[in-house]
Amino acid sequence: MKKNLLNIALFVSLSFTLFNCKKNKDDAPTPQAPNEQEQITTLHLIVKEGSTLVDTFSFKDLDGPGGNAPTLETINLTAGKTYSALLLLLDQSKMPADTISKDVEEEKNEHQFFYAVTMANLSVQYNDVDDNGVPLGLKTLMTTAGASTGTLKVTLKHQPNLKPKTGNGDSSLGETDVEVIFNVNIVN
Amino acid sequence: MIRLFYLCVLLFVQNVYLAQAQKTPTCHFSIEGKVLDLTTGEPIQDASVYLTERRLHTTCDERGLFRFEHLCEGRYTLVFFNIGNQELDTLLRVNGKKTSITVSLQKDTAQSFELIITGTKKDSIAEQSIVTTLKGTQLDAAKMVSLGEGLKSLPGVYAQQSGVNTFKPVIQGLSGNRVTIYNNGVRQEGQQWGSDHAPEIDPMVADEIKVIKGAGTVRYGSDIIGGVILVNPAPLLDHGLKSEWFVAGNSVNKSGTVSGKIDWAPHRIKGLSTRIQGTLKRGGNYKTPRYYLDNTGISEYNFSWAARKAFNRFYAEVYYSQFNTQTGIFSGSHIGNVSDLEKAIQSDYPLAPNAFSYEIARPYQQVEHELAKVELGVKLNRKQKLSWDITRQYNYRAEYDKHKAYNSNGDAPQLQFKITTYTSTLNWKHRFNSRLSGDIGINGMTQENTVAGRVFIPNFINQMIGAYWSEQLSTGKWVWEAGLRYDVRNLNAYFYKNNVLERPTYQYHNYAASLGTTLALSEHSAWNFLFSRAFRSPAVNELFSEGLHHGVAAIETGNENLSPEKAYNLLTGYKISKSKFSSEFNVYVNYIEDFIYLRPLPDPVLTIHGAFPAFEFTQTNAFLYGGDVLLAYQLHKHINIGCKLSMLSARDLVLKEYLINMPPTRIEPSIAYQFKNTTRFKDPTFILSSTIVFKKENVPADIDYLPPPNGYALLNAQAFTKIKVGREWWTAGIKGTNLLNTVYRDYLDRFRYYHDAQGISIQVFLKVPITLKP
Repeated sequence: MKKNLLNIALFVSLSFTLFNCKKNKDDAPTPQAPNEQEQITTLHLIVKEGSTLVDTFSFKDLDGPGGNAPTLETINLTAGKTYSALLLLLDQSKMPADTISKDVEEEKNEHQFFYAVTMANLSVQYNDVDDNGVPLGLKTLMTTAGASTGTLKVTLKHQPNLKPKTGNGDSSLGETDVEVIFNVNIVN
Repeated sequence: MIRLFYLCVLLFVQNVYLAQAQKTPTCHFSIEGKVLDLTTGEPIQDASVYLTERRLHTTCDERGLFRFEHLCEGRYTLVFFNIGNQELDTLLRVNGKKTSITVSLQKDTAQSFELIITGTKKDSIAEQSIVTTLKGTQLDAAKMVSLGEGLKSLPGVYAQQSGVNTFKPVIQGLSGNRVTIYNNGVRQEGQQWGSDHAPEIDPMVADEIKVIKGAGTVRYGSDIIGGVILVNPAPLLDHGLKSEWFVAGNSVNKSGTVSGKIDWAPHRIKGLSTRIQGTLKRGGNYKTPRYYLDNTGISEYNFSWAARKAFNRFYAEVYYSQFNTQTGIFSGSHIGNVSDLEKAIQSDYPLAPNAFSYEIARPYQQVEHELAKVELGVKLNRKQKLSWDITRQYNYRAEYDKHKAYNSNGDAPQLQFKITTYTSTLNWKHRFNSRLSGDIGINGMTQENTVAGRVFIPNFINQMIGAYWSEQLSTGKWVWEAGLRYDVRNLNAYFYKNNVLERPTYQYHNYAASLGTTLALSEHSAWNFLFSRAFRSPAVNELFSEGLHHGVAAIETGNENLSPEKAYNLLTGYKISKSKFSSEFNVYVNYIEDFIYLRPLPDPVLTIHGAFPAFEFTQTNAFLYGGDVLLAYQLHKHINIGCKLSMLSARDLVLKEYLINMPPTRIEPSIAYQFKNTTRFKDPTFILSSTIVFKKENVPADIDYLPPPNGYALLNAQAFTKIKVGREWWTAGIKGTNLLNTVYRDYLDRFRYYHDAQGISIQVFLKVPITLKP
């Protein structure tokens, strides 16, 4: 009996030496801080007239998808003007905030912003291009006509190996990284 | 000297009624058997058999047959002696007429075992419960695909798919957290809550796969609502050195699988049995009838080893296995928002490249699963066995999105889960007398999960302790079984909400119970009935998931106030088995109180990626009812026809509508031609079959992006045979599915939004046993 138990102990411990168990070094009660995770929380549309800042219109969702609802500002512009606009994408869940639009700029050959206006008397023209001369859309020129209201949809498409090398781009390709619909209000 | 010997014994236990019924109280039972050499399959003439209780002695005839007649009900011990004194093999296999019992005996006890004869057929507890088994050639054929896909060949089992590589079993409409899988006696613990997380098990380890319902399941958990799937490896060898090699290929994704197993029981170390096993698998892009599916390759390597040492009445067993896979996800399924999804749905052809490649690029999943088990046991006496095991599992899952994170360094995954689980079970298997036997045990579990990357589920620590008791009682024509289990569960979750660390704690107490009976109506037919109650505490994703579920383009929100599901299951079946005709009818009703499911919220949720439909976990009372039918008829000496049918209806009793994602009605007629056995070929069979799946009609209105796809019918054919090569029997098979290259999509395939199901597939396999030392 004793010999058997000894044999069992020996057999089991010998076998254990063959286990090559992988260990999890993370600790469940101390979860990873939420700001470690990548996300786009903020889109700023910075509108200038000449070199004068007119206003910044923002979409902010600081806790990411779900949870608290995002905040969305209305784009208020004056009729009959031409503005230069700049998009800024931020990850404000980090301290300091991460500028995602820099990554977009770096990978401009596989990204493109698209602007779609409904109802409002607003036209948007690209004011920057990638290495192939195809628009990128971080910088635009916005021209307003008469007083009106409507929407502006800003879409960022990720098009790895898909973005056209010529022309003005193709919004039907790739995956949507950003899609924000602003209300637009143009007054006299 | 009684020399130890090793035989394969086939025993037929029959209730033979003697035609010349005598008035004397002579009983009318008999034991019939056949003694075979497992290695060669040859009968052993003159093997000697002794029936201890009656002091009867007989020898096998030239066909290896023996028979004891005029026996009464009772318990008998058979002792086998091999006159030839030659060492043959190690397995004792007992086959009832209608059901089979597999008994693997230790070297030391190999010369005798007990047999109980009563008025009804005898089985083990598990087999009295409602069991369907996949083994032999059908299992070999199922091993050519993943575990979840292979299980679809069982009646009542469907699969929930996320594309061509991810199959999760659905038993009578229930899946995910409601179906439990045991791999070599260990409850599989990974991230099984995810509908795109396939079971991390190498089907090559399996010698049989069983689906069990009934009282026997209480030892497996209190949450067995759908059923439990047991993946059992073959028993270890008691003697000799053997290997088995399996090679398979599949045309649909140009995949190849090689698997090998070596069993060795060294002669010098008494009582030691060992095994090493390993599998390599590589596959490329799947082909549908019209196009290739981009990035659906798979690369897998798995291995396991086992050792067992017997010390008189004691034994110790260790088992270790590792599963590693890198699985590509169809690139066209990775979408940014609902507009992308709608575009994917509207286009007839997927918006992804159409070419073959073995390359696995983003998006893909990388999964490792490691299992270690130590089991100690002691045979207290012939009636009782005590066993104790400790197991550890480690599961690592990394999910890589289609493109790298904007602000990430390097090629890191967007989501990582690491879960470590320890379990321990103490089980006392006992037999009080020839009528009453059962299991009593306690079972504990502790697991820790950590998450890195995008938030979807939190970190948690989960603990469980439970006690169970199941008994089986035979009284004349009736066999009764009952099981009871009580569980206490603790769940501690850890996550940040609005930058504050929250650590909610939950505790659940509940019980599971079942009562079943089988009545032998005649020699050929039996009726069974089962009532069971199970409960399932809410899983961590149901309580806390929060965020965007990529791939389904939905925001999923957990509900911290969920209470456990209580399931009441009523099942009844009728079985008939005559020489030419056999059939099985099973009908069931399943009432699940507080059934947890995802209910769509009225308003979409706005995110920077656009608006997404939102779902919240909520509870209702669900009512599922359905039936599974199996028919087989021998039309001619060589021709068998058969048909399998499964149907189901599922209602939400609170909202008074149908439940989503329930399997459609499925019929599988088949016709088989059995060729004559020759000295060279054994069981050569050709089977032509069809899988007919109807359009799912009873679905809730307006909550799915797409209505259920049309029904479909597939033509399949398979041919198998055993071939004698030298002294070994090889098994060869070829199987073709979707032979007409039908374009279809399956309702339970979540990727039906994106692409057609796989096209014509020709699979071949060869299984080669090589006995290196008998």
